[in-house]
Amino acid sequence: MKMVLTYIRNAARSAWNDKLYSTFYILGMAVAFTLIILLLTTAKLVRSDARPFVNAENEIRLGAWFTDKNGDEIDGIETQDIERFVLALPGAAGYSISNTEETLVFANGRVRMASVGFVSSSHFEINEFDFVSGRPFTEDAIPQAVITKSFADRSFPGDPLGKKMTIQETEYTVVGVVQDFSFLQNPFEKVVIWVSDRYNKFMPSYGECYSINILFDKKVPVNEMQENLKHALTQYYQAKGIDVDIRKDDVLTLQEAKFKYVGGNMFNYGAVAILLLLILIPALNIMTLSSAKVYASATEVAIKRALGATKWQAFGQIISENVLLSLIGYVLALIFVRPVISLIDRLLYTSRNAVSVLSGISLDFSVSAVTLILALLFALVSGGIPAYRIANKNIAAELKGRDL
Amino acid sequence: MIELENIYKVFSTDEIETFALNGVSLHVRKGDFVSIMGPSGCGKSTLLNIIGHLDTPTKGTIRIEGTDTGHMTDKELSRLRNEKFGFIFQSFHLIPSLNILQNVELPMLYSRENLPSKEVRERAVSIMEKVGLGSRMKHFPSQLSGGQCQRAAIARAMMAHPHVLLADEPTGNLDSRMGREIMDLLLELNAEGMTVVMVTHDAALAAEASVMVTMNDGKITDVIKEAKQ
Repeated sequence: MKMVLTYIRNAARSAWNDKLYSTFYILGMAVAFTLIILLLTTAKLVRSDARPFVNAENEIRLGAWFTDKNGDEIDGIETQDIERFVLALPGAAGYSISNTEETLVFANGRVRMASVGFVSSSHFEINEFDFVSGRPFTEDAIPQAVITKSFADRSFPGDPLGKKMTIQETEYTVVGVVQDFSFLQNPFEKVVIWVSDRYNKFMPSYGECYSINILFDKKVPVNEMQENLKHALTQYYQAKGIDVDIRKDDVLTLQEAKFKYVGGNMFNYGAVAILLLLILIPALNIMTLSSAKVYASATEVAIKRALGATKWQAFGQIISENVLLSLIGYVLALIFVRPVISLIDRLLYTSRNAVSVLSGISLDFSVSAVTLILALLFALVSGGIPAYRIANKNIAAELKGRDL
Repeated sequence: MIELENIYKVFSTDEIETFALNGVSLHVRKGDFVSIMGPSGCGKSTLLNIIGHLDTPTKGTIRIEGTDTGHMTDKELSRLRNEKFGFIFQSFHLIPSLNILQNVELPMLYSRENLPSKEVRERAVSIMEKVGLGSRMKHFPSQLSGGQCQRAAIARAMMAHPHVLLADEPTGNLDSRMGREIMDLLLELNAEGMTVVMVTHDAALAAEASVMVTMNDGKITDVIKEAKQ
């Protein structure tokens, strides 16, 4: 313990004595670790079932159109047939319908173009939206709306619950506010306002159909879900005299859709490649910087060895400075990551009133832990090699000021 | 106390081999003050480094207090350096980022004695007062004269209560008055029972030792015992 405290004290003293080196080291690390945290977080969002789409593995979204055997577009399942269709589907545990429209929203004296989802109230049952305040809307009362927190912050500073907004000449009362989520979690859900499908004046005037989000029982294997759905769709269109061509892409689970549209294995391999580069580039630069500093301290290390330090004690004293600086860089990265996410999110925004790539991203414990391990690994890699060489140098030769 | 038998040290390059030590044997007894003299490049510093286990011989046997050190691990050698030897170098080799007190305390960091910090501090203060640096403890090496730095180096060498002081040209970087003071300090320590082995160019200082060893071309050419006048 005494030795460890001495390592820390010496490392801090050495870092303080060489402020320029320490500043470059820490800033380099902070930037690299910020990007690593960002990358790991986005990769995790794509790969995992984070809220609100916790059922991504057993939820299938049927689109609003299909193609027949001639390759011609045909309408999706008609609204009045949806309930019967799903009830007859083996393994189905629930469903919601949705239609997303970019439309004008009048709120708090301002007009905004926003992405509005006309959905059935069951949408809040099959997906686990994280309610910051309020509740899901009900369909049997006055028109109600659920909005995302970022939209609420922009449109209704203070308490948004009970506030009014108008869409397609219908006035809605805000009854719920949900936490933002990322586009990476569900490429189909870009909505910041949810209202009941019964007030949807876009339908059926455009001749389109609703998309259907079907939740299957967790026990049903993915293949079986998809085969059942293909069979049911084929039968549905056969009854209408249409020879439909249902492809694999038409019945993807939400998880498969994320991989297909947001990035699957290519995304992950790419992420790993970028991650390695992000570590490698500063690692090489800082290794050079670190090597120069360590080699400059070779005589000091030799003196300590002469006074009784073992090779490992000498190694520990050198490496402790790298560990200390890397940890400071890591802590700064944890502090920087939120403002950086916010900044990148603003740069990526096509519309401030739709779900963006990074909206709702929060710092995850496992990502922080993995990054901490990477930080320590980096300290060992960047400082370890020169430290090992210095600790193993011939003491007499080093004290004499020359190498043999 | 220190027995060297047939020690060779060869520095090799692709083309030539240089015999820095060529079959040296030496016996240092407890309480001796041994001076090693000789022309530049004769191997006297190499011999001192090998005695202090800062370097390894190419061939030969070293016994410290009866123990053959030839097969010792790095940890055992480090312990040996910490507990048996105190080193004094021509260029002091104090750590510039530490103050004099911290420099003097440094050997205790690696010591098995594991003394509480307070006792380490008390011992360091006591030794520094003994070498005349009681008022310079918080100074950094760059703020002291050469003589004061060498006194600090001697204090550091004494800190872990070594059995032998190994001094490589301890007066080499000092003027004659300072050199005299350092020599007097070493003689005083020897008089208190400390074994001292000192490399020097200065024949007058060498003559004050109890054993005067003369070297040439990597060999001991003469040993005069009870040389002290």
